[in-house]
Amino acid sequence: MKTLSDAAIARLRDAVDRPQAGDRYVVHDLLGRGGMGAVYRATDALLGREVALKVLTTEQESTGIEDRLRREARVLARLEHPGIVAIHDAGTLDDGRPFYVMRLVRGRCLDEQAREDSRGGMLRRFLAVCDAVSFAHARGVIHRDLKPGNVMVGEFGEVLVLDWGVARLADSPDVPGGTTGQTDITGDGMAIGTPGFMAPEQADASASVDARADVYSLGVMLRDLLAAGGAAAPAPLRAVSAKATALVVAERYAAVDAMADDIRAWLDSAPVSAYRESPWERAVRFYRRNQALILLLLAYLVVRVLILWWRGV
Amino acid sequence: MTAFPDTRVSLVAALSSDDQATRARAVDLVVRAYRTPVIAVLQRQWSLDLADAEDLAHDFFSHALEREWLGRYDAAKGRFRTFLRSILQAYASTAHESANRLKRGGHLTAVSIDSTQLSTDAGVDRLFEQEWVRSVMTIALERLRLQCEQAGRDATYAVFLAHDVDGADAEPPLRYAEIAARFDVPVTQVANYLHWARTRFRGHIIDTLRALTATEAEFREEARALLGRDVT
Repeated sequence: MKTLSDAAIARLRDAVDRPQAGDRYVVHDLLGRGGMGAVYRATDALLGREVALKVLTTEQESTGIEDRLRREARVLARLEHPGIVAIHDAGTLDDGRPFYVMRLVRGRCLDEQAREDSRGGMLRRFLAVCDAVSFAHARGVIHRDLKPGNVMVGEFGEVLVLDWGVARLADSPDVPGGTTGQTDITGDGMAIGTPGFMAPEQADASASVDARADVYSLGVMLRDLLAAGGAAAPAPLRAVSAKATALVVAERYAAVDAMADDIRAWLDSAPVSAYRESPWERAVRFYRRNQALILLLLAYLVVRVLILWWRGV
Repeated sequence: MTAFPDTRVSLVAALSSDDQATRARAVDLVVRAYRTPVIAVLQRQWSLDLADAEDLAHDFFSHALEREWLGRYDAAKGRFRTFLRSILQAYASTAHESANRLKRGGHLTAVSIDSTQLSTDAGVDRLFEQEWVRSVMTIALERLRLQCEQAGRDATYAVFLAHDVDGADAEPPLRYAEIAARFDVPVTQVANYLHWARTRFRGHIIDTLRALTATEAEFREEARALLGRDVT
């Protein structure tokens, strides 16, 4: 037998590491690795459809992380929303590792998609993210790792928030932010999130984190998405992002819905609560909002003046 | 909880078994698993060319069998792999000294394997482990080939070989559709073949590691080194 090349060794190691999920799931190629596990494309032989199978990567095995994956599956199971990837099944691999199966999303990340979107299109996708996150908050789940890489735009244009592996469950969703009775998916005393996107309070493992941490991350995402558009972002939208990313938690939007309302308001040329506009800006906004009516009125006035002038002549 | 008692009979008992066939099988496996790593170390550490390294490796294993060194392995003192490295070190040092002495008109000296220090060259250790992984993979692959042959699954083995071994260097990576076209089977069949073969290949890796280790703890340690994870 010929000598195995280094590449063959690496491939065979990967083949050995590949999840063996019984007869039901035939696991194919690796789609990506995240903070907690690896996601593979797989075929559900029972239902004859392609799915995504998430499993712990071999280097990361520990009791705590296994629990995290199981809890992530449970978090997803309680979040049935068009903007949150649906979970189909969960179980334990032949080698003892926990796994769960979810819808296979074909598409691309939000930031990639945003480069091709108009500003309005990008904002509407961003609002879909806000809706999904707000839905999770209402059910006591704080994502804690929101970033463009964790948002996929599917082939039908649907927006899906992924990777709930470090989410926090708040048992009291009616409490603003839900800081009481929390259950942490992660280990105690760990800073959770992605630098650059996570709220300052997330870096302090001892600080309590509530829904406003997600507001912060959404604010950073909004800022980056606006910057990706190339042209200078309008001041009201910059103000929305600035308010969402305030370092003092109390100065942020109290809820994602409030932030989303401001963005919808800007799209509708209505006042944005985070931005104090000048009289000229108010006039311009008034014109934009009532453009058709104003133009019609102007046309009417011009015609009236012409008629009067013609009669006078 | 482990599925095996702490000390298994596999390697320790097999290497010193009274049953000649059992002993021969164990020795054969050890030689197959360690011949390439031994040659690689001899080449790197003692700057031998391939032919000389192969000759010395042959002498080393002959010597070890003749003197029953392998049977002196004590699982309580560490991994078999480390033990083999240490007696190789002793043997190669002595052979090197003897060769120099002969050149100066001296005489051969006896090898002592009791007080040998391992080389501290991390590169040599890494090379030894890397080649050991290659050998174990090769043994498992050969076992898979035999299994496929006996089960009349030649096509399964051929697809596995094409995708996971020969195709590993392909750039861009081979797609299932290309393999399917090459073997004239549906794409879904490629996936099924690979699934079947990978599952068995993994089993052969584990079986080989179990046969090459003496205790459950050693098996776990070696499995972690080879697979990067705990194996149950």
